[in-house]
Amino acid sequence: MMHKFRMACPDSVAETLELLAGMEGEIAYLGGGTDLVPQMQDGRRQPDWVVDLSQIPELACIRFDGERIRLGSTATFTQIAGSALIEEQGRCLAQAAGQVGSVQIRNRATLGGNIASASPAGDSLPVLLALDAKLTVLGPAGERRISFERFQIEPGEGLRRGELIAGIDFAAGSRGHTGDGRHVPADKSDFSAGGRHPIRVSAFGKIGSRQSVTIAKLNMAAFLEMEPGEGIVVKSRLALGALGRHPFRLRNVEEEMRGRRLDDSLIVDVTKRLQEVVDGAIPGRYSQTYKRQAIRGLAADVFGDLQQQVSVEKASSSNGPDQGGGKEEQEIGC
Amino acid sequence: MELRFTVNGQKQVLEVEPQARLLDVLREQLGLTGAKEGCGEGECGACTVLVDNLAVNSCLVLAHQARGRSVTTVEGLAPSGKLDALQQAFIQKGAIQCGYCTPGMLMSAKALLLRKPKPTEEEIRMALAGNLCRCTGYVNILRAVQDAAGTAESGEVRKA
Repeated sequence: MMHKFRMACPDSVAETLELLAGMEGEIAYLGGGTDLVPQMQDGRRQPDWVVDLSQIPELACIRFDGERIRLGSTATFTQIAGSALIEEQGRCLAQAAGQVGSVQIRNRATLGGNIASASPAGDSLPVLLALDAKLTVLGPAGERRISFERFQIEPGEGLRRGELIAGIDFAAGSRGHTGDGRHVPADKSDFSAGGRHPIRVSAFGKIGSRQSVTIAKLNMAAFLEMEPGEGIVVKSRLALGALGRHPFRLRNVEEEMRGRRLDDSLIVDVTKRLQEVVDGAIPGRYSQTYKRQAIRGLAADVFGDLQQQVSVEKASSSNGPDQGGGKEEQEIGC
Repeated sequence: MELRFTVNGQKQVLEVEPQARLLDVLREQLGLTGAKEGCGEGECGACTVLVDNLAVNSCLVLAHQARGRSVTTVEGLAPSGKLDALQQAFIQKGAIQCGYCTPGMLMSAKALLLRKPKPTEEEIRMALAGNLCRCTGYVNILRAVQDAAGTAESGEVRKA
């Protein structure tokens, strides 16, 4: 049985912030509950107040504001995995969301909760690094914006007392246009090929002890931007998880990919570098031998997926904008 | 704290402690003992119920998070005593041994069929991935869901 706590069930963010003033002791925000509830049940967490954010409509939103994709922190993994907008504009996030836990877990677990739980193996976390996501954090001292990368590693930049993650956003565009066919104004410095938009693709992969309902032994997310003519990589972000206390970017490898084509020789070189990263991250660990082999398969999955997307992208770019797949809603809850 | 929600089509107004889980309220306050506690941490799926027609682990949901929602338990599959097609199929296909996982299996399968009346074998496997059974080996469960959905094939089901 859980220890006693008081509970607040606000209907809006404004009401949540007002309630904070009257709360003493430890405050725990509750999203889907898939981590917090069992932690309270076995006594690992004993907050004085539990504030349920799961029925605040403005926090469950998934939308495109013309420039960035914005997700409320209580968007569930089921909503994210099923969103045509996310599939189109941040595919690696949709892929990761679809591989978190089971159907039951995905129906409750939230993106904000995955960030706050900060598991070394959290599936959305390398994705947020690969998409260079930013967080909006609200609390007694007001609002602050911070990159997810700084949020997770810099001392003092994580959640402070009473703070909640309100939203997560990232630049639109695996494909340079929106799901409804509107053109996304691309950053002019990104490409120069006579008005053709750059090719942007992303992918997520994970290895666990079974195919689903599994905690990642390794997970990886990759984002690539290529100029549309020769398919030269102009920008990339690569992140690995489950190799330390938190997932991390591989900036050296990203730099080495720049200026090259996404071909088999690139994948061979990147795979070697990934094995070195494993050796450097967990030297002497019992899992090192396994993970330095397993990462070859993970790299083959993720980069194979990227290659596949690029070939589809090249084929479809001559046929005008893609109108989005068979998935349902474009925007949720806004 | 007062909790208002709907369970198996009936409106309920209950006095519920903040720390009660949905599973606790269903079993102990409403006497609906179909949902079982297995692992208590979202691995086994024995506590699966529907909240607004989505399958959830009721051991991971605080009861007050169900305020205003509509909850369906295995008891709600046969409100008048007549078994749901899924329940009938589980009996006919021998998809039950000890029965502890069965209510959760049924509710996960029900959520799938509500959303997708004619699922593929792969879709059934994914829908049941969060429900563990230590007796049957899953094959008969898969056959039962296919039977209820009318998608059963005459051939052998792929071994798990």
